[in-house]
Amino acid sequence: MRQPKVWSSIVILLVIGLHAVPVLSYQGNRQTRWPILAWAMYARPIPPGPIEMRRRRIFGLTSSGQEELVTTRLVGTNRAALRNTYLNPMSLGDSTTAQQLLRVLNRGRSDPFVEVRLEGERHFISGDSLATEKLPALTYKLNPSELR
Amino acid sequence: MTRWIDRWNRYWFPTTTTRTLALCRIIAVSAQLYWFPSLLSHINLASKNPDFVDPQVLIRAITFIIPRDVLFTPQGITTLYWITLVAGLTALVGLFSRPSLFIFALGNWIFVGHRYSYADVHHPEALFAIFLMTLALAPSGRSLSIDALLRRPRARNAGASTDRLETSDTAMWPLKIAHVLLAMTYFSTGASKVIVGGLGWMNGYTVQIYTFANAMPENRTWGIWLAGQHTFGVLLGAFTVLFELFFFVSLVLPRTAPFFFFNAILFHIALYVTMGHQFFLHIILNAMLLFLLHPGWFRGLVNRLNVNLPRWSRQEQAPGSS
Repeated sequence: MRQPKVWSSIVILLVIGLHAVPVLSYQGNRQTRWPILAWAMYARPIPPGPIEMRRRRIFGLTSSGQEELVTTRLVGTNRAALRNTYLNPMSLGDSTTAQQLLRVLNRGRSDPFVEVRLEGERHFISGDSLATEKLPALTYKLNPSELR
Repeated sequence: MTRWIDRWNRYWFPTTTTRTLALCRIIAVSAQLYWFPSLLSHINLASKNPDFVDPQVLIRAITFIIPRDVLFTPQGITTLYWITLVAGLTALVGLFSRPSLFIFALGNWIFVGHRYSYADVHHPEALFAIFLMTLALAPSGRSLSIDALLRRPRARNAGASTDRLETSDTAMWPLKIAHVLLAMTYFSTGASKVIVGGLGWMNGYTVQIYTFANAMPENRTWGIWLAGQHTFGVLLGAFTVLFELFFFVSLVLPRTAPFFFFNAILFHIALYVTMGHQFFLHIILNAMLLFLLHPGWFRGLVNRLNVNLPRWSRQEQAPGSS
């Protein structure tokens, strides 16, 4: 039977051919054509330097004094999006992003967050051992106008 | 032209048993059922976000027909979840195999597309999702299925040989396309490293720092240890680039294919152990290719061992042998 082979061939050519699209029209990190993706993860080499990384967490303080770790579940996002959309800008002092985060967190909350605090450490390899250095905390308070 | 068509047919459409494809169906559906989407996390995503951030094409197409506030609600997602799960179970046992596979694959596509519509996209599910969909387009229920069992009495009554149902010329192309896609994506990943950074990717620091950045948050002991080993970093960097760039050789020289599939499995296991990258579905794909694409190599190896092992042990036991 010729027909199944013809249709299968069309599918094969389509699937293979479509993989040229994300390469020719590269979207970077914000790809929207899943499962047809560009596969350029970790392409960037890292020049010689210290083996280190920074780990940050966001804690929220509510109006009743409760402290809570701000997780992806709380924000309603994924890990990379939490890092890129909120953590990274806030670690550079972006207070607008902090206000945006507070607004997102406070949607539908009876006990709203009034403050978010960014804490973290710098981990690095020193000789044969692993060392840790605390990073200065950054605190952002909710704009009073948002509480009303 | 005819020669090219013949070559095309010889590669993609050899006549083979449908049991291989049926095994693929069972393995792939089992794997996808094991790594099934989390209902609660999808409800959470849909509830906490009033809108998508970067909706995937599939999600945009769906919401063009079915509005977001109809399907991507707790009730809508729960309904989709159960439809997909039931379709997966019927696909596993091979009942209404093709429609079941299609609904199961599409349901999983929607869930993954939904998860990646909030400014976060990853790669582990992509190729497996395509493979799952191709199973719906091939005779995956012809063997090892309830459909096959139900078909036999009908075929016997019609006087047809039931053996005829066991082979097909469209039973191999899903596995073959999985092989081609793996080769393309590995090559793409390797080429991007070389194009962006030249030999710099193999400086050791690249592997060390990427590994450290991924291992630390999850306290992965092996990854943290590896991050401190510069020589290993250089060697692994070179291995990674060479493996990704040359995986396509398994297409051109089929005898090398088992070597590449086996190394791919080790590669992804190592990525998980050191960096927490969950390319489990790639491991499953490579394992299926290793054992089912050219099953002759494994049988040949087992036969050679069966022949030679007794001979080797007799040689060791023979008097005067050193």
